[in-house]
Amino acid sequence: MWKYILKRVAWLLLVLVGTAFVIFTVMYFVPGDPADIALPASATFEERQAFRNELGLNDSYMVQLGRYLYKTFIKLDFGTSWTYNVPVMQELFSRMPRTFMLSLITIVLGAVIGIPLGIYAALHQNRWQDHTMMVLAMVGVSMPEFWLALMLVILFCLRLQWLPAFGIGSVANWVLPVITGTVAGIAKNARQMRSSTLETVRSDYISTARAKGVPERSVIYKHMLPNALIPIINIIGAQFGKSIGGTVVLESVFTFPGVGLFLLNSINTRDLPAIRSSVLILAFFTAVVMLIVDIIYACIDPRIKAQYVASGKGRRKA
Amino acid sequence: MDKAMKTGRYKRKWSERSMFAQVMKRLAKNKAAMLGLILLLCIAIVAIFAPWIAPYSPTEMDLMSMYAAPSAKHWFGCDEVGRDILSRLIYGARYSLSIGLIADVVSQVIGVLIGTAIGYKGGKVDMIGMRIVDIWASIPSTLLAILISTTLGAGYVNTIIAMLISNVPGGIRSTRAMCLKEREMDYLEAARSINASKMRIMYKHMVPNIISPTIVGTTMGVGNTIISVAGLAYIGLGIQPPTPEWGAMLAAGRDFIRKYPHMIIFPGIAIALTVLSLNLFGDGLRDALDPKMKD
Amino acid sequence: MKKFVSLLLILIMAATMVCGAYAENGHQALLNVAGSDPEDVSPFKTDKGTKSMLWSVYESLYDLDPKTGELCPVLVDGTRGENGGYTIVDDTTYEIYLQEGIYDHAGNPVTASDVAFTYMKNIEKGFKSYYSKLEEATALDDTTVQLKLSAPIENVSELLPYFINIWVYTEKAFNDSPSGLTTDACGTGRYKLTQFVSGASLTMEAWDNYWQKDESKINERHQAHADKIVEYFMSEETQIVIGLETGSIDICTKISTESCSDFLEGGMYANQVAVSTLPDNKEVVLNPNCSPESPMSDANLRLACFYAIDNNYVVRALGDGTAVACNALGVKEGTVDYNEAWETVPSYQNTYDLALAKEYLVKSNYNGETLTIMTNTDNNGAYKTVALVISSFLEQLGVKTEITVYDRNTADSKRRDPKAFDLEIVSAVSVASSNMEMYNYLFNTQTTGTDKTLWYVDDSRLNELFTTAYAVKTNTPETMEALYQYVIDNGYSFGLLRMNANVAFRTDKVEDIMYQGQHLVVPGSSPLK
Repeated sequence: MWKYILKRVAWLLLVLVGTAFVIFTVMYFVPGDPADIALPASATFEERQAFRNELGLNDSYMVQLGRYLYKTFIKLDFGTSWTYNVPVMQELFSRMPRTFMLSLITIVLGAVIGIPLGIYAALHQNRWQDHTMMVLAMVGVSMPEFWLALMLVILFCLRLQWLPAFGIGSVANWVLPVITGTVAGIAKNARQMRSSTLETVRSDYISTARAKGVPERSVIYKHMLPNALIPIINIIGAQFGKSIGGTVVLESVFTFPGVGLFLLNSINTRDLPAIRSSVLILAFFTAVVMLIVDIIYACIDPRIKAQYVASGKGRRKA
Repeated sequence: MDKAMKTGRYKRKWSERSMFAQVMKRLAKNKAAMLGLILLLCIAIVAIFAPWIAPYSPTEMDLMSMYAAPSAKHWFGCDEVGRDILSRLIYGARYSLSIGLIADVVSQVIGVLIGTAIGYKGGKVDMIGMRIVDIWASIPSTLLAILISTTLGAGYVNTIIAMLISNVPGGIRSTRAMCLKEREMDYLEAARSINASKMRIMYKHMVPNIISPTIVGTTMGVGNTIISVAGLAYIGLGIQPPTPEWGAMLAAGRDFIRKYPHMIIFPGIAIALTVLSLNLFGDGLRDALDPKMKD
Repeated sequence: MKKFVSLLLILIMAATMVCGAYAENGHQALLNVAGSDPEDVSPFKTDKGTKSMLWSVYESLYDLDPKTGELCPVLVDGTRGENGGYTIVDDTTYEIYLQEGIYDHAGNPVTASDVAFTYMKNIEKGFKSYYSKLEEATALDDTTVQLKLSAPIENVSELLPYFINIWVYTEKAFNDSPSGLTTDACGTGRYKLTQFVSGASLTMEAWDNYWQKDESKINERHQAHADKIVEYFMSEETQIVIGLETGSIDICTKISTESCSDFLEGGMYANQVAVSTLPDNKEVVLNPNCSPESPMSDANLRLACFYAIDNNYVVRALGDGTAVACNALGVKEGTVDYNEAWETVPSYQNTYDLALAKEYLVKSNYNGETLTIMTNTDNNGAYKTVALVISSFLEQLGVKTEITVYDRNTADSKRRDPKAFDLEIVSAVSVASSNMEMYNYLFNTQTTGTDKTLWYVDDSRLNELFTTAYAVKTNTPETMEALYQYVIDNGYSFGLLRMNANVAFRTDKVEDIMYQGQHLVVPGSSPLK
């Protein structure tokens, strides 16, 4: 198992290089000249050319790619944002904790509330509890995030005046963004968990356990849950991966300065260093999360663990 | 009986012969699934016969009725340049339904195909393949959709492509995870022992067992896709007016939530209904495909 | 007993004096402002209108009076020099005279060498195009700055960056600053920047020790009525409206007209919130692509299209009060060279004549091609609506069109491809004091590097007329008239409308809004209740 983990960590570096390459290439093709954006309209053609030369934008693709990879991975210089005029890392590190906390809280709450709801719905299949919960889940998923956010603001800030509507001053500022973000998560998790539970509950080994006289509690927690949780873990892991870049709507509605808005603004201004380095950091973060998810799989399901171990040793043909 | 003994062939009922037929039969018995299917067909019919159903043209501007609230003349009210919202919803069904289904279903199908292949093969293929997927997935999907949309431009086809590209890696990962679990199962061992081809093992035997979370994810994902298009439309990408599309209508109404809530409520309901019908049908489909389901 | 009473009286008198002094110093006022994200607080680059805090924290040599468009001295001593603070020694040498006794927030004295340092630093860190002719800035003595140019200032708007948007800071402050004045600030303005949270908010506090002790020399735009200003970078309109209604926001510097409907006459919150509306000093223009790849290179087609568009109707389509129709290609308020006669001379700018348009159409080479109207998504999608209305007008004329919409940066690059569009709806640059700034954007061929304008106009007569009118020496009403007439006769641009810039404020806290030139709100100088 450890061999597997080490292999994955070693691959991490290659994944990062690969991501750097991909994002560089994608940005190369995105239309929009940074010189046009950064310089005022009165700039002459020569000035724009000089600006582009300074940033190395007039060189060929390979030269620019080489320079970028060298700068990022050998010199470990992640560049200065053209828009914010501060080192990208500095800006990211000041914003990352907020976005990270918001995502973490949202996802954990979404899991902690959604999973039990899903199991509950599955165990009362086709009765009113199940139907109510599923309808609520569908509403939760179809609701645009900005609509929910603004509705909550109207209720809690305008009418009741209990909570502040924007900013990051105090804990109270976090309540509404967290609630908004959690709703969709709860809906998805509940739905998936219900489906996963229903499937597991019909399996033979569950019937066997019940026939053996194992108490229902034990059936649920010891036999069914570990199997039902597998697809959910992947979903939660995927949510985590999406979350860092996906909190854009929450951040813009609540004036919550996070990585999402930073990245969106950078894309609008074609701020290449900011985009490239931010994506790289997010990639690192996502890759680590995926590794943790894969390890959790192995811990839960010994069959998967066996495969990781086997893949380390060399496999027999499938 | 005699005929069977003579020809050596036993003629079965059609419904017992093919798997497809079995699935269809089980599906038909599920009332909720049938309800979902009917609802879906209704929406599809509305989309197809839009020109005959819609009271107004979806692009006709009536500057006297800007932001009009729902009334007898305009059942669902008007948008910011006086276009009738009901008509736009009806025509919009074409765009939204197709974008949601194509982007979501196709990306999941691709995800399943590739994920199964990678997950089943395992070993080196798994290592390398998943690392490529990791690279792909590490760019946040919202931002990848924005970048691709910016490069390709706004528009129907470009938006579908952007949503496809950003959704596929999730599907691959999910399927591959399930495959890892299923690979060592006995029934697959049994299939291998009778020398079934790899393709047959993967797609005929394994996939039906692992397809369940994918189906749920797909049906939930359609609503998500349409709302993502709303996000793109808000920043000038995605689908732009005058093309009627539910997500774009949501985006256009975003700044008027308090003053003119009808601009958001009705597209929202349309999306919710679509998601509901797909979920009901999807649940039924999942139950029908589940080999462990006891009839 | 007596001693006790007298002591008490003394205490009471002292207390009232303290209260009196306190009251005179102004209210303990905190202003919450909703503004746009400035991205950083550096004083080097100021073309975007998002860095409004610079006007409170820093000061420039002069500032522009928004009503007359004239220079008002701030750091400069208006009594010295031949031109009210500066002297043109010869074509390429300028001398600027500073006041005495200026010091910045950190107490560093501001001398001519600091101003020279600011100029040279701005060339390095700011827009070289603004100071392209500046060879060297030196300090002749403590209060005289000499600017040596590589070539004479020829054109009308070239001098402005040297006088107006040059935010002065001291060399010591720059060197002492941990971020090189990017995320912290040290200037001479009436407010000190105390906090900047990137992407969220910034906080400014009134500087009690303002260097200018002579009250008569402080103009109305450099006041400090509020003690503390917190500016939040908010982009969600609904949030801003809710903030204004609940009182958590006192001033919003930019709000769309639709969101203001509750604050106008008869609205629910009309008593708590007032709106100050000024037409923007940017004109939204419809520009044809005059390259050979586009049918719009035919002047008759251009005139046909323009006469078929009624810009008053377009303005109505945007909604009441959202925009003001333009009857001439130029910005009226606050400019020194707007000619009212342009509005009465009949042209497509002020005439909607479908019959005349059809005549021109017949004369043109239009063969039924579909024209592409390109626009961008700024201003909450208002330009999209404009495009839709124009499209239906052209359909009425018999010209087929399709609309493509991009975000502004992509639109700016699509413009470089002559095949990508036939007509563009775009907002021209802000006009600070002269309409030549706008004409520079529209008709100058120097910015493209080819001999054509940004919209591919290749007309030597236009070039001639423009260059004549643009040069300071030959900029007269006659030359401007000649340029204007030629542009209108050939249909090179159609000034459609100017969007209304709305500033909403709470009437229980704020009396009125103070503007800087270029329609920027200076919250600190806005009189409070």
